[in-house]
Amino acid sequence: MQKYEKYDSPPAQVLLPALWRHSDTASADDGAQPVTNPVTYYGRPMIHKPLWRWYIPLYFVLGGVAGGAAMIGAVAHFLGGEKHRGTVRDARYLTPVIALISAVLLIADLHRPLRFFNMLRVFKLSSPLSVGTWILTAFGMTSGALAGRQAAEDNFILPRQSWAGRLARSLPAGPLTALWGLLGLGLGGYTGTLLAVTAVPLWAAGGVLLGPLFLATALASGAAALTLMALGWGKRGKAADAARAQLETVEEISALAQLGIVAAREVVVPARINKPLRHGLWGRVYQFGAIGGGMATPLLLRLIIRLSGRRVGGVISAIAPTLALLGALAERFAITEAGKQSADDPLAYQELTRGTPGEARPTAIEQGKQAPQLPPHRSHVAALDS
Amino acid sequence: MSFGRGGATTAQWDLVNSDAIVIQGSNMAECHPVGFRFVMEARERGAKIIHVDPRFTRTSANADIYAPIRPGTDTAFLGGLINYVLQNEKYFKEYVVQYTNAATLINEDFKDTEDLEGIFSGFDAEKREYNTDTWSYRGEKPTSTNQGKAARTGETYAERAAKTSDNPVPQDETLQDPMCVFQILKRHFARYTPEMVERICGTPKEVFLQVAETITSNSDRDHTTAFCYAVGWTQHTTGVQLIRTAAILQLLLGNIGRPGGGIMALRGHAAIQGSTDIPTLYNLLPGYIPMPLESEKTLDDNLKEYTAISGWWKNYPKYMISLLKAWYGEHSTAANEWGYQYLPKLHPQTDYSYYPLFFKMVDHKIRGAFILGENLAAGGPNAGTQRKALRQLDWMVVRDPFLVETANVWKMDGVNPADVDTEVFYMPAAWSAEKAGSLTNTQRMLQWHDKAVDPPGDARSETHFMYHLGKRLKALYQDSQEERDKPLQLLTWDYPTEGAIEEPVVEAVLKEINGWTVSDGKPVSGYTVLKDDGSTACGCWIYSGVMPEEGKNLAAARQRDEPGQITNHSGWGFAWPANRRILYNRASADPDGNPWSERKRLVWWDAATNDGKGQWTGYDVPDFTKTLPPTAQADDSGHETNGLTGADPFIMHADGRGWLFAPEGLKDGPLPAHYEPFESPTGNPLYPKYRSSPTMTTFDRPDNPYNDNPLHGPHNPDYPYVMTTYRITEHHTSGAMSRWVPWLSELQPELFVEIDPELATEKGIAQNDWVTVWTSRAQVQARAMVTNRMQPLRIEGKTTHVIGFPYHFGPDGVVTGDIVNDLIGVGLDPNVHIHESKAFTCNIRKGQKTTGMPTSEEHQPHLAVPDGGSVGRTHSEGAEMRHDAAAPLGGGGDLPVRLEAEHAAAMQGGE
Amino acid sequence: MAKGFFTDTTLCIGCKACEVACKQWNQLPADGYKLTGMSYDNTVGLGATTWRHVAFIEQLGGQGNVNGHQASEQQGATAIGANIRRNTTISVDSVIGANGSDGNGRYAAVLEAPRLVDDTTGGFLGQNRWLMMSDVCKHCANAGCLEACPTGAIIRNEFGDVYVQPDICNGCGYCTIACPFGVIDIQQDDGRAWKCTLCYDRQKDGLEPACAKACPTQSIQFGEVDELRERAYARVGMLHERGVTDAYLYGADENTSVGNLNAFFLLVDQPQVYNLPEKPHVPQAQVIPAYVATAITGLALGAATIAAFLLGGRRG
Ligand SMILES: Nc1nc2c(c(=O)[nH]1)N[C@H]1C(S)=C(S)[C@@H](COP(=O)(O)OP(=O)(O)OC[C@H]3O[C@@H](n4cnc5c(=O)[nH]c(N)nc54)[C@H](O)[C@@H]3O)O[C@H]1N2
Ligand SMILES: Nc1nc2c(c(=O)[nH]1)N[C@H]1C(S)=C(S)[C@@H](COP(=O)(O)OP(=O)(O)OC[C@H]3O[C@@H](n4cnc5c(=O)[nH]c(N)nc54)[C@H](O)[C@@H]3O)O[C@H]1N2
Ligand code: SF4
Ligand code: SF4
Ligand code: SF4
Ligand code: SF4
Ligand code: SF4
Ligand SMILES: [Mo]
Repeated sequence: MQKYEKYDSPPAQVLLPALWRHSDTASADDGAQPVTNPVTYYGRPMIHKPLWRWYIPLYFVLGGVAGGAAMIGAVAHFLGGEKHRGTVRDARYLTPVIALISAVLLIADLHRPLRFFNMLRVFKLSSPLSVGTWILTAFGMTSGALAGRQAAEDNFILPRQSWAGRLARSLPAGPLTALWGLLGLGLGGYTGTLLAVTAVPLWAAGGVLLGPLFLATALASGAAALTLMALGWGKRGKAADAARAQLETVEEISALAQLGIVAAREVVVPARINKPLRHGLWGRVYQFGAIGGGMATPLLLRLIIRLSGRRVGGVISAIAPTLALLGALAERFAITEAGKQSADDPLAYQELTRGTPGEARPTAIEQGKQAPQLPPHRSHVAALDS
Repeated sequence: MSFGRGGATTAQWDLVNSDAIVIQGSNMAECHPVGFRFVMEARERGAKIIHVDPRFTRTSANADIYAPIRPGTDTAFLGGLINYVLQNEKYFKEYVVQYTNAATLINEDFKDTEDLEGIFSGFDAEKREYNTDTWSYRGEKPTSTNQGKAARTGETYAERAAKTSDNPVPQDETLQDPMCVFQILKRHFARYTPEMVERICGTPKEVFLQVAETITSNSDRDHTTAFCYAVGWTQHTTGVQLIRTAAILQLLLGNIGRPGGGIMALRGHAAIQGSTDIPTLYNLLPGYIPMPLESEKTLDDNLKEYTAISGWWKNYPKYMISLLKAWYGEHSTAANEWGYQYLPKLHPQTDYSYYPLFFKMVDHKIRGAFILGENLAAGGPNAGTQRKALRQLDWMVVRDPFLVETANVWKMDGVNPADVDTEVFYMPAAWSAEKAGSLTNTQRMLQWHDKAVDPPGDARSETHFMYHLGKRLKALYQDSQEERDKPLQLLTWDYPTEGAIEEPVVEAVLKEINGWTVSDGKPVSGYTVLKDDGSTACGCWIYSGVMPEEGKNLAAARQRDEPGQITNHSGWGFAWPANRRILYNRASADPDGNPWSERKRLVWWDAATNDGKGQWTGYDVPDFTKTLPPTAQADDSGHETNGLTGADPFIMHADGRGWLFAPEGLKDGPLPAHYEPFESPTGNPLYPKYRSSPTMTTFDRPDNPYNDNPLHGPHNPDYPYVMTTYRITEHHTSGAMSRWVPWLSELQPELFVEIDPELATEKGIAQNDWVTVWTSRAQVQARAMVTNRMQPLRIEGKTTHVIGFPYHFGPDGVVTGDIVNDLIGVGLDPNVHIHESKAFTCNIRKGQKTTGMPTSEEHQPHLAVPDGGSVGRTHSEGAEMRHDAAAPLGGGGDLPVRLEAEHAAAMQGGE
Repeated sequence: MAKGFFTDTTLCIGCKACEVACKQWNQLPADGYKLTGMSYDNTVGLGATTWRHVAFIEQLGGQGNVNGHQASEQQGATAIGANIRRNTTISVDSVIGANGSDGNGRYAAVLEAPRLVDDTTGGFLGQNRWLMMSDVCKHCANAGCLEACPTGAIIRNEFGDVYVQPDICNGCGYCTIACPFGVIDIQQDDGRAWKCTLCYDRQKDGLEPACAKACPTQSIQFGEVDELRERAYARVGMLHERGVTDAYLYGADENTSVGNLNAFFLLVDQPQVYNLPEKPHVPQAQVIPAYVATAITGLALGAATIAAFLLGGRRG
């Protein structure tokens, strides 16, 4: 007989201990009754868990990178000036490539991939998946156009003077870039809402924070990717350093935002629901990989470097963004997988769908009173009727 | 036996009119789920539902009162109820005095179990048989009936034999005479107290009393209580007496023949009722006409033997001669005793029933067998020996829609097929939906069904098989000069056929069953017009009326009642006899012909109609001569009285009464007494000298070992637990029809054994663990289903665990499991030779079996397209049901045995 | 004029005819052959190939069952979300009235209420219940699956029911996690999402759904939802009158974001016992707040990025 307790590894309350304080009695703090005498149906899940394969969390990471990169690319385009030429170029080249990979991953995860286009039959605001599909499509086209424009300018692949090159260069950079940045924002954030707007307890509880978290992570990882690319090109000089410093600032800001949202999530998500992110494999990946490794450590590193006032070499500068990127990977995978576990946990779902007597529907007693008086004899089983 | 006819006295829909319903010996919700809707409806209307069962089942879950009981102790429980009724004077006095034989005086020599410490007078300890002479009504000649006749099982003609003279039976209507049935009954059951019930059955006294109060307070002029039973009652060495106990109780409470009353025998397979009406049994001819014995040398002997002095069986010659006329047509003449000599005759001392035949098969005394629609490799007790028996045959024909285990015995049990000499002919059979015909269901109702699709490939219907086999046999023997081949040569065998495969027209068979007038070939309107002068022919008199006019097939009638209207659905199908839905319904009116109460009105005498001559009328076809006034006297001329009065409702009986005391026909006593099953964990506190039934049929053979000495030996501590077997909704009987159907198999995919948590703890068994259960016959492994629905019982102060096994599994199918029937020994009721599969002893341990019965390694190819159709073969059920193989088919030589789907005969219209 | 189901668990005998009829009509494959040990339930729950599922809950002797499921002892206000009182066996006691005919001059038992006493069979199993409930897609007023579907494969059909168009579904699986009742599911070998169609095909031909047709006790009643609701309330009233005060309707009078269910139930224990949520949410109730929160975050982070670009450069 399958036992209910699935997650029995010890809690890892290493980081941000204060946030873990209420731990497993969280529900008691919410003013409702503690889960003392759980009633489940043989411990069986109450909802279906997501069937997504690894493609999807990987897409969440890549989409985040692309979205973040596009946001930064757009700001850099408008405000970055000369020193950010490279940043903009990197972003323009990076984003359509990722968009393409993302589309492939997404389509591959469909159980009927050839019917991908049915997604484009409708646009439904109520469905983040629908919204996201359109965002990704538009993003892919916009970034593709911008990349084409860039390529034509760079005389790279697309010859500058060919008709296509000319056409590409004639595209209006400003509006396209603005759209690109906005779509990047959407791409970075919608995946969080995609998760939030489900019945999966771990995603739905505190779901409003998932979009923001994913977006912050997107920005962080986009900045990290661009930083790494810049480092990769190996450009030196004051302008390059200044540009990188600005990117690093964006990284720091987003890491701070990430940490803040993570902390807020810990407060609002009941312990039972959050259990898979506190215990077990994915709990560790989340705590050590995503939060510790991907948010706190880069931030600390930067602070230390900043406080020390020293300049550091390329390789050392690459550590923080690499960590941030790996952290994004850890975060997306941990949240996705932990979500699956919480979907299997009937008590987590009961926590999500808790109500006080009479709240969801009239109590039995009230219904009894409400019920009209029975007609003198009304046979219920129509045994005689058939 | 108690009432006179071999069928449920009521119909399931009538249960909605009950004020209390006792379901005992049946798991109705699981085994008769569709019929159970009427119980639910009754509950909706306020009836109390009581379930008495060793297990808390889906029926119990829907009952108001659940009473636990140890398997095999229902006689004690019901006897306790009878005692309660008698002691507290809760019986329906007027009904009892007028309609039962309570007042009848019994032979002075009669001695009861109370006098003889557990046996009745006339017991021959050597032969383990009763001489029933002392049981007769006072002044009546003792008759011979079944005495010493192994070939005569059951009540075949008891109801007519109780009276052998024209003299009125002496009565004491004050019920005070110590030798009147009522006083005998009272003494007999006096020790069946609630305390005794608790000791024997394990039913807590309070629960028992609650049941008693509920039943008695719901049985009077205004109220009726119904009993529903099935094979939880029948499959015992005391099965017949057990049902008799219920019959006595219902008669005392005045619940027979009245709306919402009765005893509902819930029969098994779709046409199992039909298969006793037009029997696939060795000892009956259609319509409960006994198969002649060798001693009845001439037709006159036969008619003399079976024609009653009074009661409906006065008409016996009409039915017998019409039957002969139907079978032998022009060759049936007054000159040749209407062909009586063509009928096979039974040797009185030979037991032709199912299990004796099997043991003969093991001993290679029977060489060939037809097995039609029965999976006996898994379906019956001591299945291992049954499979062994089949492997001793020279040849066997298996007709079944599936390649069932029975057809595979040559490669089961780990035997080397090279060592098995049996030649197996597997002939694919058509499903119910692939052929037209009628099924006679549990309410004795014939329902026609049309063919939906042609049978695939070589699959053929039973009618087709039998008809063409008959034709070929006739062709084979047509030139024979042998006298013994005459019956075959002269048999009328001329049904019209249709279609390319020459399928016999089943309506033609139905017409023969219904009967016709010989002169014009027109169908007769009913059995009342049958004659004993050869002018009518009728294949089964009780079904007569099903086709009252050419082309009018009442079995196919589908007239619905108006919603909410309360009638007896008389326009739907045809119920024998004469489309009566509730039998003995004359008893729903008082002796004067008025309803006992307004509320329980069913049939009454309406003096105003019929030109002032009056007639019986009501919501059902009166089970009485329609114009016989309540005041009629037995010898009233001008009326069809059959020697009974206008106030005798049990018209089949020679005395017109319901039998509290059965003077005739039973082999194990005129009254029921509690005996333990042949294997039991305890003694018999009521009759310590006789633990098990002294007359039960046992087979002391190495291939049928018993766990204890079945008769008086002490309980064997190696087998401390009681085991019972049963069905679950999701599968069907031996599983042949359900284990191939994925949709059913997924619902119950493995064999499990239900045990109580206490025993599980004791044995270290957890949910879903493998466990092994064993008896002296075999061992079987299964998954443990540990559940509070099983509870240990206190029996004689000892904690007694009951283990429950569904018996649907076998080695072939999409789901497989061990054959539970391998565990069970063969011990039979002496009256009808039903086996005891509901109560025996066993042991249990954790873990898989070590050695033991292997299951066949290769799985069968997936034969079945899931198919809704399910009709099939059953052995028998009910006291009035038999469990026997049929008589020899051809003549001479080694006897081939025909083990036939009982439904088949009924459906296709018999021989 | 939506059509739907009223499933009355107090009339269920656990025969699973509904489950089989559904599989047969819709030609669904079996799910596999494994004994679960969960009472008589071996199909476990609703899924892509099981659109009707009968749950079995043993509550005998007040001990809960041995399978790890515990019958909640302290319901009433104390257990999670419980809104009903515990444990009245549907034990109708005492004798019914003698008051004759049903007005048509015909014999008929006349209902006399209320007649419930405490379970006097207590000497044995105490308070015994073996609950059975036939579960199905709820055809929610606000259906999570429908709202989530990015292809528009899921529609509300002319009978007011939630229907998946198999020719459009691309198997994205999003609906499966958007259903608050764990109903709709992807069939692995076919790659599409499936669930109860409320026998759309049969309804179109004026037939009642296969499961309702097969149910021998009318535990499943099909009809116009409004009419069913009325009937169901009458039933609740009758049961209360008889002392079964645990009885209540689940899904008929909902004050949740899911709203009323076109397939609603009469239950006698708290919803969790039947694997139903006490207070289901339609996931899309979160969609606007989630968008807004994301947008605000986007604005903030965008502003911060702009600030970083405007101010952050100085450092260098
Ligand atoms: N789903 C389904 N329905 C069926 C069948 C099937 O195989 N599957 N088979 C059909 C056939 S052939 C038949 S004959 C009928 C049989 O119908 P039932 O007789 O109702 O079926 P069983 O399950 O054999 O036995 C009924 C109950 O008797 C109980 N019992 C056992 N021993 C005793 C006892 O000594 N006393 C009492 N009071 N109860 C006892 C068992 O616990 C069980 O719950 O069902 C028919 N209907
Ligand atoms: N331990 C134990 N043993 C029991 C019982 C018990 O309660 N406990 N119950 C007993 C009872 S009541 C019964 S009825 C028996 C049942 O025992 P069986 O009759 O041996 O078992 P079934 O599986 O019903 O077998 C019926 C066969 O008929 C086939 N069939 C179906 N339709 C047709 C048709 O139209 N034509 C032909 N030719 N074949 C067809 C089916 O495929 C199936 O193989 O088991 C008995 N054995
Ligand atoms: S199997 Fe047939 S006979 Fe038995 S309950 Fe179901 S419908 Fe009735
Ligand atoms: S949300 Fe779930 S329950 Fe509601 S209609 Fe969709 S599948 Fe059915
Ligand atoms: S799996 Fe099919 S039905 Fe479900 S959301 Fe995706 S496209 Fe729609
Ligand atoms: S309505 Fe049709 S599809 Fe839905 S559960 Fe019932 S039978 Fe299955
Ligand atoms: S709902 Fe009806 S068909 Fe389904 S299990 Fe219950 S009683 Fe049987
Ligand atoms: Mo049977």
